[in-house]
Amino acid sequence: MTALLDISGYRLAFDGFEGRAQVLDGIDLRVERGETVGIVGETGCGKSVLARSIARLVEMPPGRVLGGTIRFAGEDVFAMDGRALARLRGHGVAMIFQDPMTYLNPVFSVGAQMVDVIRAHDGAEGRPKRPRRAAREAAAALLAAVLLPEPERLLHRYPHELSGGMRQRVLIAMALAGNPQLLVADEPTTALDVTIQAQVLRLIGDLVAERGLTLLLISHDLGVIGALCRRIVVMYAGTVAEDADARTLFARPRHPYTRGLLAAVPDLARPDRRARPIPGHIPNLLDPPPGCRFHPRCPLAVPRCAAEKPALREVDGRRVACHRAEEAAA
Amino acid sequence: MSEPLLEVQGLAKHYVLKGGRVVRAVDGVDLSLAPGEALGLVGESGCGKSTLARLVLRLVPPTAGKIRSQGREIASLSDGALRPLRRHMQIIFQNPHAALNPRRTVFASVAEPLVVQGMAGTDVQARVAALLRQVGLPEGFLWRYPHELSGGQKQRVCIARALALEPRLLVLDEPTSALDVSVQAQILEFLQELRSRLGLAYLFISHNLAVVRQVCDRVAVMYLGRIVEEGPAERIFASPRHPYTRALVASVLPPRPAGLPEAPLSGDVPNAAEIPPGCRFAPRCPLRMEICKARDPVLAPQTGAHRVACWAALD
Repeated sequence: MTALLDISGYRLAFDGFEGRAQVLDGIDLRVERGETVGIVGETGCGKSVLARSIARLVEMPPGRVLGGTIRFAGEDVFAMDGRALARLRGHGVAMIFQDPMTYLNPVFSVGAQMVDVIRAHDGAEGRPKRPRRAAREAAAALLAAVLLPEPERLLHRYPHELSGGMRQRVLIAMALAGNPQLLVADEPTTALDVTIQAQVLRLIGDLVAERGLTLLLISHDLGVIGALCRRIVVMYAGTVAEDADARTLFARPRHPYTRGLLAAVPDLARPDRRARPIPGHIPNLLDPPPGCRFHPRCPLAVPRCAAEKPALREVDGRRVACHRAEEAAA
Repeated sequence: MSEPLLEVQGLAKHYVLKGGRVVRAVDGVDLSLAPGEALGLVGESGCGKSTLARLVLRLVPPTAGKIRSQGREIASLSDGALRPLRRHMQIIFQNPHAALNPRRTVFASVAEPLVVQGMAGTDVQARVAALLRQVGLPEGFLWRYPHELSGGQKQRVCIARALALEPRLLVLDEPTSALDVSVQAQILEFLQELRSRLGLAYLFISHNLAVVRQVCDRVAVMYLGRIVEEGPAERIFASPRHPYTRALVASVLPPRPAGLPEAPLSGDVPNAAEIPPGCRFAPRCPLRMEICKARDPVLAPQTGAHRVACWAALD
């Protein structure tokens, strides 16, 4: 059966004044229907631009695809015409982002924006656009589905009147409007307080379970990923470093970067274990290191690591891109 | 015990909005900090932790209350009288990218406090070079501009600038929140080493409890302008007494496949312009009783230097 999402050998660069930044360097990732996959990595690892590529939201130029394909439900995303793309966005893939205020229009009420979204989906799916009144009822039902109190009244309110947590719920409601198969959530709770984060993550978890959604959750926070995802993909400098079942990854990381990342996170429950830094800096992608992009910071690096890019291969029940993965057992 | 480096009593900062509504950002805080001690200040957005930090440095004037710093009452001192005291209390902000002037070299930024306090000539350059060494940056960085530095390096430059005048108190307002975890760990390690080397006291503000636990001896939890619980870090995190502290601790997501947290609190953080009567946490509190809606609990001592403002925790 075809995977819901199949990214193969995907390479993306950005052309700028200073040259060409190679932001994604051969990404291979298959996501099956119903999976909950987390992508974790630090600034510049390419996790957000990968997420946006799925719905073809990367502007080209300055972006430029150097190779590879992205298939959604078997269809090549880069070959889609305007109609197919409109259907992909919303009905295929829905996205929510870190800062809900940026994605809400401050001068229109919540209701007006949701009605537009709902009717646009009708158009994209080739149905007659439903009347505004019916769309308004659908909008209220969606707000109720994300557990916002008094949805009818909320339709009249403006984004600035809502708290951060409520705005993110409104965006989640909009994301559900197209009845998506894949929900891509890019740092959905990073701008929220911890008690509100707990509420929003629970909501996302419940919606994914109830509606049988496939989830792709992007975060820099291993705690957020660990709360919602059964499978974790670790990215570093535009490459997939490791891809494993969540339990396996946390218990027995194989890639030296995964191990460094886990050791760098302070853990409230284990105060005796101090957070340990990873030496060095993330590389400049205008001139990335040859071979394995992590080798300049890697405690296990050998000359081969600077000469030859490690392939993503099966080791010990997960995929890992490291020449020394067999030796790097925790 | 030696005299506290910093002691505040009944400290308040109210802002009056157009139309007369009053935002009680900080609303009656008692706190003390010993020389060389690290106190963590935690709470969610809008709880008043950053306003409190700016008050103890007298960057904003208080509406009411006393601030005793380095043996002097500073709540109502004039700017001129404050200047000699300011060198001993410095602040580090969250975003090092915004805290450095992009058109000034590292040297110019770090030298500025020295020049303001009257140092001149070759002394300045030698001192700035020494400061960079202290924060672990090579001397070659003196003539670089902020855009040539990474986030962690910029934060080190900010720390060097704060150290220029040999402070005794460093206020750190979310110093690692804008940094990646691998860099955060570097800065945390460095801050701990710096404190033991220089005997600095820290007022360390963060929303990240795990970070606070790593750095601080003592922790104060703020909610809507008040401290609701305060005590030794290990007690606060291992056996929190206040229901708000419990909720905060329960909301922390461990770096493990732990599943979803029980959402322990419903509702949003209320607005400091509409503080509820009685205990201000009562509307969200799972342990709410009749008395909580009527009477405001005081921060009462418990065993072991632990204070809690909660009617339910008083037995």
